[in-house]
Amino acid sequence: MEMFTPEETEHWTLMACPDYEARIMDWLDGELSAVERKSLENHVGGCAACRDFAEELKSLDAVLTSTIRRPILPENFKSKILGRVDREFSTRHSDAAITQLKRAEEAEFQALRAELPKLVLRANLALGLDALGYLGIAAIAWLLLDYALANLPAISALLPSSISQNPAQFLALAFSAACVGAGLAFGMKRVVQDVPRLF
Amino acid sequence: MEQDIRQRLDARQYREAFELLMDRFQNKVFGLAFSMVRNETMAEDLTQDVFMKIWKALPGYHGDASLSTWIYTITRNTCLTEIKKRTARPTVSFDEPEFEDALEKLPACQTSDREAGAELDIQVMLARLPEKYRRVITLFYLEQKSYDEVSAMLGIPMGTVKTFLFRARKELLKSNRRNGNVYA
Repeated sequence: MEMFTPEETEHWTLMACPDYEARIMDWLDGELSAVERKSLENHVGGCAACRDFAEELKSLDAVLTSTIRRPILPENFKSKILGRVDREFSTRHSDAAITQLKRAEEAEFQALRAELPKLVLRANLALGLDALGYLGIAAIAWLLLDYALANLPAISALLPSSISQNPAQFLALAFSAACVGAGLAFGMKRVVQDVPRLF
Repeated sequence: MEQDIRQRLDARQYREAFELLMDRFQNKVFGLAFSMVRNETMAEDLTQDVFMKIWKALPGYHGDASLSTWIYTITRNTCLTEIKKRTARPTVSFDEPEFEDALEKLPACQTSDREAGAELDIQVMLARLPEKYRRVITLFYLEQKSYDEVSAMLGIPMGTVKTFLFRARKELLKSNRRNGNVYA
C-alpha cells in the first residue's frame, strides 16, 4: 500500500481556509444570499487555496452529476403493481367472490347434514359393540374365576371367604378398580402433557 | 400537493388514491431504496414490496403525518429489514476486497477512455464512503440537489444533511487527491 508523508495528509485535511470550506460548498449549491456571495467571492479572488478548492469541488460536482443517475423503473411497473393489487385484494373481496364462497360453504354444510344420521348410527353401533365386548370379557373372567375357586383349593385358601363365596362381587370390584386405575393413569398423562403448554 | 390523494382517501376511494400516489411517489421510493441497497434489481423488488404494504395500510392512514413522511418511513423500514436480512447471509458487496479485485480485472478499468475510467473511479470512491455519507450524497444528486427532499426522504434534519454532504464531498476530494486527481 502506498504511504504518504504527514505533510501530504495535513494538506488533505486542510483543503481551504477552514472558515470558508463549508461556505464554498454552499456557494456552489446556490445556498448563499447575495451579500454572503459577494463577500465569499472577494475572499476566493485573493486566496489560491480556496480557489483551488472551489475548482476541485466544481469538477467533483460535475462528475457526481453525470455518475449518479436516477435508476429508471420499467414502464410496466405501475400496471404490474395494480395487477397484483387486483389479484390479491380486490378480487378476493369482490361481491361475486364472496357469493361463490358462501355457496361453497352452504353446499359443504348440506352434504355434512345429509351424512349426519349415518354418522350417528355408526357411532352408536360402535358403542354397542364396545359394550358387548366388555360384557364378554367380564363373563369369561367370571367363568375362569369360578372354575379356579371350584377346582383349585390353593387359590381359594389365599382369598378371603367373602370373595370365594361370591366371585361375581369380586369381579365387579376388580373391574371398577381397573376402570378407576386406567382413568387416573390417562388423566395424569394428559396433565403431564398439557399443563406445561399453558405456561 | 397531497390534497387530491387525501380527498380520495376521505371518500374511501382507495384504488384511485393509490394510483395517484403511485404516479407521484414511485420514482422517489425507487430512488430512496436504490440509495439504501445500492442495487437496481433489489431496489425495484423493494419498491414493489413498499407499494403493496402501502396498499394494505392505506385504509388505516389517518393523516397524522404527511403522506410523503409516511411513505418514506415505510420505504426506509422495508429497506433496513432487507439489509439486516442480507447482513445475516452475506454476499460479496462493494465494500469487500473481493469486489475491488474483481473491479480491477474488468477491461473497462484499463480502457483509455478517460471519462469511463473516471466514472469507475468515482464509483469505487463512493462505495468506500461511510454508509450514511454515501446515502446522503447519492440522494442529493438523484433529487436535483434539494436539501429539503433528502431530509424528508431520509428522515433526518436538514443540518445533518448539509453536514454529511460536506463530509462526503471532502472525503471524495481527499480520495481523488490520493489517487492522483483521476477525474480533475
